[in-house]
Amino acid sequence: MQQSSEYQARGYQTVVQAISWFTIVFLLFPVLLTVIVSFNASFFIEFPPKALSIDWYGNIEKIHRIGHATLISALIALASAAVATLFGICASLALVRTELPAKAAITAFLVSPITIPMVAIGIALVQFFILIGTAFTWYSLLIGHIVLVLAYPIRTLVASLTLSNISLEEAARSLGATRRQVFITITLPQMTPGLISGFIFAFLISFDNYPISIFLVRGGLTTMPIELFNYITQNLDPTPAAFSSLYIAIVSVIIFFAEKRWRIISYAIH
Amino acid sequence: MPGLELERVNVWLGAQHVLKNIDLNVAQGECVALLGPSGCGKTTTLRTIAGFVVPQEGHVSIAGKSTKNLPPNKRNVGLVFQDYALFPHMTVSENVGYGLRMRKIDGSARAQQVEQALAMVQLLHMKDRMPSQLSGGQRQRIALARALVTQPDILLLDEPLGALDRKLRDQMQVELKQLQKKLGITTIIVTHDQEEALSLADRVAVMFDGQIAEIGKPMDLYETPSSLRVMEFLGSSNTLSMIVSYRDASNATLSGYQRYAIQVQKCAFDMGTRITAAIRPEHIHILPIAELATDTLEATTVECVYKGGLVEVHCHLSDGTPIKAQSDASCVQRLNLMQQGLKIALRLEPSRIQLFSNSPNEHTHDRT
Repeated sequence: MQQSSEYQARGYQTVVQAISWFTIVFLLFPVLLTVIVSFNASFFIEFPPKALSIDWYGNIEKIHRIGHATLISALIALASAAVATLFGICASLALVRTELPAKAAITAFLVSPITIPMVAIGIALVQFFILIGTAFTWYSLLIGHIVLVLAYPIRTLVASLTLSNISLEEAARSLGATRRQVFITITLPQMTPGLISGFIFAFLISFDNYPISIFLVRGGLTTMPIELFNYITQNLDPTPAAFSSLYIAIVSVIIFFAEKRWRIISYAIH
Repeated sequence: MPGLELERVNVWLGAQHVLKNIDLNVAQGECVALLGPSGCGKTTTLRTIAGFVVPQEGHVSIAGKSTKNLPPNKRNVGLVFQDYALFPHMTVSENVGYGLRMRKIDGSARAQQVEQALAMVQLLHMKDRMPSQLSGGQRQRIALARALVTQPDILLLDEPLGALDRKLRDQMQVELKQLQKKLGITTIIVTHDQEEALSLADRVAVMFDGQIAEIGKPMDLYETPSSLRVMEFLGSSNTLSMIVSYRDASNATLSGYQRYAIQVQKCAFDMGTRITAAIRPEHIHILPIAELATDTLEATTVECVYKGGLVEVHCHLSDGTPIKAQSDASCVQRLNLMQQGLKIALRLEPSRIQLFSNSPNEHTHDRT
């Protein structure tokens, strides 16, 4: 970044700071509101709360099939993140370490699910699965989520592989390592931050996805966000806020430690 | 036994002919520098020796063994990269021990050899550090220890001192030279820094456009280069367009297009030939204008550039041709050379004048 006096001028700094604070408040406000509402004693969502209680946390189990749906969401998220990360490793090696023609076009294609509206992806997927006769199965839900999350590990892995100098691998080769040994002892450890952050982001994106899942589930095959939304449409009490607060807390802890250990956020926004 | 042989090596990268008929013979224990501007093919030559580039034609043998179909990991070469390429996720001793680990040398044998290599570069006390905790000079030495611990047949150094600051570079130059001589290891250095090449290598190969333009001992190459291009690439030089106006058995006179003439002892060109005379600034002596004689040229001072110890005096000849002479501070003071537009006399050492043909394909010169 350019560090000229122009960018250090008082007026400029004030404006940047004001915009930054506004953005932070804008992003944090709904989260804080959710957490505050979840401790509200009243049956109806009200703000500010007149009395506090933790009763709504005990009520989470009343959400229809929430345990079962959360388990399915977790399994789908784990499996789709794992598959997407594996694909991401292969794709990033091909995109960064080989002389592939039309690299930019391939990269754009692989990360395109980010730019296409999720509803469109969902409709396309369900029509495709109906056509081949596998709609509303565990497998089709999994494949749908792989399509959804594939872009994240590819991006973070390409970033970490680009940052790792190829001379490291060549040095290892000249020191007597075979291609396989180079991959295991040098390339893979160098890709670790991108691998972890790609996996975590893929997991989180899949875990709370609603717009794609809604087209792919039916009957007993259901996910956490779908059951949560079903409850909200039929009830007005703060139970979903309690569930969401719990979810926010767990995710915050995971992100906090992953960032401390692997600096995952820097890789995700690279 | 030859340390390294390259025989008619040709490399095309895509449509580009990067190496053209490279022939290079390096004796066991010899240190050869590949010197040239960027894009001349020196790095590709190094990568071909290391096995990362496979030549389409010709072949390479290391320590008498052909490298045909040998992947980089089977060549037993020690490679030091410009950025050192230390593995950032391993400690210093894990880095140095990597080559031994790949050779299945384990336990106390490995630990002992790693310690010996670290002691050799005087960094044994750093063995548990991570590379990120080392200074540039320390990283360079660790990279050297890692390359040497496996006792390679040949050591390949890619711009080894390029990333170091001036003072450290001078120090490492001496250390590197001593180490290379002590171990007697065949060494190839790739560099664009002529000082590094001339001071480190037994022989220097100057490369232009994918070819070796000239190879020789540093002093021969600097003093009597075979072409104007090599002369101008190595250090500073002056060029004068001249015509051979008189020539007999022992002498020749060269005339400038206007008023001045210089005498040389040996001239291989016929009378009337247009040639380029070249001389290095340190072989031009500055005299007061009163001493102007038949063997000196009149010049006018333009600028003095102080280089610490030495002073480069930029002048014009009577026809406006720029010429640089080297002088020292006392001479500058004595003759008041700081003054611009001062008339002075320049004496060009006749034996130091190199004559080159003006036609670019001919590399004729006066060294016979």
